[in-house]
Order: sequence, then structure tokens, then C-alpha cells
Amino acid sequence: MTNAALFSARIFFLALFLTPAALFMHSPVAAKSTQASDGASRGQAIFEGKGNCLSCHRVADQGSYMGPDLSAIGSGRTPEELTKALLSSNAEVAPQNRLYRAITRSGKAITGRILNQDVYTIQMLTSDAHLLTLKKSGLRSFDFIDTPPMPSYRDKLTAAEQADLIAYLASLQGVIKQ
Amino acid sequence: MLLPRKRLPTCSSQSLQMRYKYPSLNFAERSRKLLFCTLLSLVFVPIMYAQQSDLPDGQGKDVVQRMCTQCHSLSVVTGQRMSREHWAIQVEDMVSRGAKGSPAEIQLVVQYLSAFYGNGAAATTTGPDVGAGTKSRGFVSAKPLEPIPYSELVPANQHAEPDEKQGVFISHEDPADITGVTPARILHADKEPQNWLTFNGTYSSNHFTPLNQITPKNVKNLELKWIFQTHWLDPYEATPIVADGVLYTTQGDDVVALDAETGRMYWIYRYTPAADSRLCCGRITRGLAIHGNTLYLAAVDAHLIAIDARTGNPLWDTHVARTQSGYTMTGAPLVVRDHVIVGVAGGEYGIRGFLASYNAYSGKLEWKFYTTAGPGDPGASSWKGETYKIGGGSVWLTGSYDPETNLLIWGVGNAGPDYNGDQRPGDNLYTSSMVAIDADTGKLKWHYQANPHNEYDWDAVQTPLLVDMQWKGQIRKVLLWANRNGFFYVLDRTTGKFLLGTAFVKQNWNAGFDKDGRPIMTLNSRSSEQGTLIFPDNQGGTNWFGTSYSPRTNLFYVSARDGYSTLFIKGAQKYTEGERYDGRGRRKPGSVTNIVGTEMDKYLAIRAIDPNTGERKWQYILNSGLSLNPFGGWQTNAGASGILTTASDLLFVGGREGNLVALDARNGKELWRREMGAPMIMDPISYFINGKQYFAINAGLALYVFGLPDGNTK
Repeated sequence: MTNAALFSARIFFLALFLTPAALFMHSPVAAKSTQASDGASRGQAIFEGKGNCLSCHRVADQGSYMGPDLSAIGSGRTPEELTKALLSSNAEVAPQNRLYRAITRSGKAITGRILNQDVYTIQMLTSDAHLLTLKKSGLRSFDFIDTPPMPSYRDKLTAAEQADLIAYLASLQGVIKQ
Repeated sequence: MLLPRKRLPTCSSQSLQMRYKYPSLNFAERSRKLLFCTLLSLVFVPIMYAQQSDLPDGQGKDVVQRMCTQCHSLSVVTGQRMSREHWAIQVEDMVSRGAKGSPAEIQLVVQYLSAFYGNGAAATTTGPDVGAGTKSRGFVSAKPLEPIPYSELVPANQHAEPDEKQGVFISHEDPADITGVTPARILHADKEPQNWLTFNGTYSSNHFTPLNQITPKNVKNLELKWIFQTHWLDPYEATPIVADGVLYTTQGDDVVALDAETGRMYWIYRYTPAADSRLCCGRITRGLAIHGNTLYLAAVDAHLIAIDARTGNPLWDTHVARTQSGYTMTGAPLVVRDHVIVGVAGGEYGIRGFLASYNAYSGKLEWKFYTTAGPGDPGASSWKGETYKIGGGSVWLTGSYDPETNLLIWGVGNAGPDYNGDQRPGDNLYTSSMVAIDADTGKLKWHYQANPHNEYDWDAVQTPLLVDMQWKGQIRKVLLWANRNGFFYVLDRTTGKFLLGTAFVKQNWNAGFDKDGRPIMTLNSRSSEQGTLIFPDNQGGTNWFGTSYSPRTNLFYVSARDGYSTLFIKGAQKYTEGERYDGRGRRKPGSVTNIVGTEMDKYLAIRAIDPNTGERKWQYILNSGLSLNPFGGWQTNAGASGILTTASDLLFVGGREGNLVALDARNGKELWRREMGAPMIMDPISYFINGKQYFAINAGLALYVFGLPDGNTK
């Protein structure tokens, strides 16, 4: 199984609509009071269990770096947007959240997310969580992986489970400045 | 606020003409004419003079902007809060240092600043306030925080429980679940010179790299490899860290991850500090710490923030102190095992300084060590009444750590109010001291006070270098310390015992030491209402510039400011929370001038000192007394970068005149020099990637990285 197939089979990938200006930036979000509802608690259990979301996503210091970090997803998305992303997951995927693959001239495949690039180099966060700069002249190919990274969860979760998961995602407000 | 810009060209053109047409003319005869050009680097030393325009509209705005941005950024002004009376003193002090303005203009400036930046004034610094809430690591809930009463911020004593581990072996083994830059790697950082894992490189802070690819022979071939331009207009006063091919640095309170070989950016974390932060000296964040795959930022608004080193995502954010009371943080944290150690600045605002330890994983406070002794502390009687609660003792540079004794060894700033000791009778422990505290408990092990009852604004925060060396016939565990007061000290770092103290610049306050190392003050060395002329000036014989010790040459190296003096004048001042509290007085009519000798008698030199004797082995003059200020007029060249020595006996250092040099560490001979076009005011580092040694230093608002040519590293 290729890396791409492996990842595409496992990834829970939310379609996020980040602005270009936010492409390489992260900021603490504004304080926003939230209460962890019962639904959110159940949703967290789904996120970390049945949904296997941490295999691709990261929340705080837990999870994978393959997909986008969801620590602050609730601060910038409405529940409706989150639902749409969960059920029609590959409708719109921002470039920085798409899987990227570079293959060296010796045939070694490097997969992850692209963080930056110029004419000569590519900066990646690799699937094994390393920051890496590659010279394009040393690569046989480099491009986004076309295979949709995240399956729809429409048929994988019940309606109640979907609601709980959305409640949990909406509760993720990022780091709140004391 | 500092200097008027429009009035300086007259000075500069005259001065230039006079200098070059009449080079033999005694410069002292012209010094008064040039005084207004020499300015404020003496007070707000190493600053890039950003031309930001974020002042609120009001009568006098243009005059303030014209005068203040001559020598420093507006954030130096907008971060302060003072009463009208103290703004008048501040402005008067600037004028006494050369700022020109008509009486009406000066009054206008005072009026404007006291109106918009008076005590209790609304926030006007850039950026939105992000609001209040509780720290959230679990990303679950948040609730607004109540403002913290000042009285609760300065309790009598909050030491942790007595150290039950004392005398017990402290394990430095890494937990099984930690990857990345583990505590054991930091402990043995000298064994992986390819990286620069802490602000000072290693726990001993020696600023010595075992790398030796760049040598005295090939250093002339150094070439620029890449530049990182900060997107920032305030001072870039930061030393990077390098871990496994990634270079992390700050620009203000932003954090940036760069590929250390090419300079290409991986990510940037943007942080906007509280808009009502009290900043004495601009938005400065000197560096970062790393633990595993987490970076730690001590933000200027006194927040400690953990950041994922691979993505730049914040993990937690802990409020260390109340910035509205004057607390800030500008120094890089230090990681010791799972402790993240930070210190607070704000000595000019009547803070009670402290070092604190936070858990690296949770951000939870573990202990706090106050740098002014309170009831129950050793030395509590060195304060009268409750003056210790507003006694200063800021801790704004990163200290060192001795793993053998588990001691954090840290320099402490001066007492407050800075210039008026009458308001704080006593020795004022542990201000102007070196302290050693247990890394697990924060309990004081020993202290040595370099300046009891300091009235000269000499912060003693300079980082001690921890050295095991042959000292007067026996191997000793010592620390080497160049203090802002102009003295080089050798202390036994296990006990704090004073071993040696010698002046490394001109000084007139110290007549010697008693048997315990307490300085014997000279006559007329106390500050006074009439003014007391003291060498060195308040910026010191040295300052935050990192020093270096080379085990190859057995020499200690310091960037030494020589010939600088200040007229110290004290003034009574009432403490008001959040207001500047420095005890500075007004110059009396007819008082003596603070100009002694000529401006050219002042200079900065790199000096090599024998730790056994304090004797100077050689010196290299890096800054002259004056040079042209790019924004008009002349400026004193008060500061320099830190110093880096190498296993190939090179010494790298840069100065405020823009000259970056490589010297032979054995004899001070210049081997290489480049004009960088901007001041260098922070420490250089070195690292190694893919077969090549790199040397990095910031100049102006950019980081410059050098290396030998590809294919020619011999």
C-alpha cells in the first residue's frame, strides 16, 4: 500500500476555508466562554475513539500532524460549516490542508503538508512530524495528492453521533489568554 | 521621548565640518554643542529607531514624534505611564542629555505625554487586547478573570515547601515519552555543537562552541549564506536557538521557525501583547526555550506561552504577572528538566521581582522566588517596612544552571526606586546580587550582593559563566561575572564565596572589598540632590551583552564600555501602581555637568581578562566615542553584541557602529571585518548542518548567517 493510499484510507480531513493571509500563521484566539456540554463530552469520546480523528488531526498536544490542527476550529466555524465539512468532506480543501508528496531522484517518497515554497525549495511538515526543506532540483516530482484525504462521515456516524461530534468541535476555542 | 530630529542636522553638519576641517581641535570644546546629538543610547541604549506613527491625535503629536523618534521607537514612549510631574522630569532629563526644543515645545511635549500617557491612561499601544479568560489547555471551558489586586500580587513570601530532595540525586534521565529536544540533550548541549539549544547555548552559558571548521586561516573566506528580515519596526534584540536543522527566533513577541540552512520560513506565530503593557524600553523578547517539541515564549506582557515547535500552534498561555502594574518579561526562559524558568522585568515601575518555575507540560506554577527578601527570608531586615513589596529586583536576562548542585544561578537587577535609596533604607537584598536557588523548590541556597543599597541603576542581571578551572593552584567550581557596575567577579559557585573582584573599566565608586567581598564605597559616591558624578554611567561597564569563556585560552571576554559617567540625582517619588517609579531627581541650576573628558574618551572595547587575576590580557576597540546617527546628528556608541568564541580560537563580536569582526581569541588580532550597516546588540551563535559550520548574528532588524563557500571549507 502506498503512503498516499494509506493516508487517504485513514484520514479524517475537515474542509477548512482559511484565508490566504492565515496560510502560515497561527494566533491565540479571543477569549470566548464555552461550557463543555454532555454532547460535547460524548463528541470528544467519538473524536478520540470511533472517529479515529486523532490519527490525522491534532488538538492541543494530542494527535497527528497529518491533517489540520483543530485546536481552535470552534472559534472560526459555525456548527453548520462544521457539519458541511464533516459530511461533504472533500468539497473544498484549502491547499495548506491537502496532502503533498515529494519524490526524490532516488525514489524516496516524502508525504506531508506543504508549509511554504519558493522557486528553489519546498518546506514541509512531514507525516512523521518533521520540518523539512527540500531542493526542487533534487526531486523527481512534487505535487498535491489527488486522492481525497478524508472520507465523508455521513454513513460512518449516526445522526446523534454527528451532532455530538459537531458540539465537541464547536467547543474547541484554542488557547485562551489568561 | 528623547531627541528632536529637526534640530540635529545643524549639529551634525557643523560637527562633521569641524571634525574634518579641524581634526586637531579639542573635542571637549565642542562637546556642549554636540551634546544633544549624543543622547539617549545612554538611557535607552540599543534601539533601532523605528519611525512608527501610532500616536493618538492631539496638540503636540508632531513635536513628540519629531523629538522622540530621533533616538528610539515610539513604543518606548507609548509603553510608559507617568504623572505629569514625572513626565516633566523625564523630558527634562532628555533635554539635559541634548534634546533641543523651545520652552513652548517642551511644555507641549509634557502636556501631550501626560494627557495621553499619564498614569491610568487608556491603552494606546498597537494591537487589540485579546481579553481575559482562564488558561485553557484542555480547550474546554473559560471564564473571565477578575483583576488581581495589587496587594495579592506581592504577598510576604510564597516560597514552596522546603526542599525535601536536597542532597538526593536528581535524575536527568529523560522520560520515555519525550522526543525532540529532551532535557538530557539540553543537559549535554555541549556534546551536540551542531545545535544551539538554549538562549546561552549551554547551561554554563560560556558562549563557546566546540565547532572549529571556521578557523583563523579561513575566516577571511566567510560569505553571507542567508538573511532573515524581520517584519517588525521595534528593536530586534533576540538570540536564536537551533534544534535539528530548524532555527527559531522572535520578532517582538512573534515566533518564527526557519530552515537553518536556507533561511526559508516554516511558520510564524503572531502574538499581540496586552495593549496596556508597561514597557520601559520597547517591545523586546530576547529569545526562546525548547523542551521536547515545545517552544516557550516569555511575552512582554508577562504571559508565558507554550508553542508547538512543529506547527507554531499555541498549546497553553499562562499569566505570570500583572503587566498593568509594571511587570513585563523580556528574557528568554530556561528549561531545566520539566521546569520552565522565567524572570520578570519592570524595575522602573515598583515591581517586586521574582523568578518562577512553571511545569513544561501544563504551564502550572511550581514555585516563585522573590528577589526582594520578605518576612521570614534571609536578609529580610535589609528592607524597612514594606518597601520590599515595591523594591524592584527585576530579572530580565537568562541565568545559568549548575546540574551538579541543581542550582539556578541568576543575576538580579537593582532596587527601586532606582536612584533614591532614601525611600528604601538598608542593603535591599537580593537586589544587585547573584543568587543561587534550588531548581526544584526555588529555595535560596546562597547570595552575593555586588552593590548593597544600589542607587546607580546598575542591574546585576549579567549572566554568570560557570567554569571548572585551575584557579590559583587548584581546580575550583567558579562563576565568572562581568557586572554592570564595572567589576569582574569570580565567585565559588557552590557557596557564593567571593574570590576576586577587579574593575574592568574606569570606576570611582569602589575603594576595595572587605573580607567577605562587600564593596567599600568611596567618599561622595552616594547619589545626592546636588548630583554625584559616577563612573560608569547607569548603562554600566557592560550590560546584557553575553560574555564568553574559552577553555582553550582560559580567558574571559567582555564587551566593555569605558569612560562613561553619569550625574546621579535623586528625587522623592511616591509609588503609584503602574506608574514609573525610578526616584530620578531634577538637575539643579548650576549643578556640575555629567560630561567628563571628551566624548572620544568614551568607547567600547573587547577585553580579554585572566580569571585568576582580573588582569587585562588584550583589548580590541570596537566602538569609538561618537558616530553619525543615520537619523541625524551624532550618537554615542554605547553597546555591542555578545561574544562568541570557538574551538579554533576565533572570537566573533559586533558593535553599534556596524562593524562585525572576527578576532584571534589568543591575542585580539583582527582577522576579518564586515560592515553590517546597522548595530549589533545581541549574542552571536554558531551551528552545523550538512557538513558546514554557520555563524549567525542579528544586525539592525535582520538576522545574518555566514558560512564558508560551498566546496571550500578548508
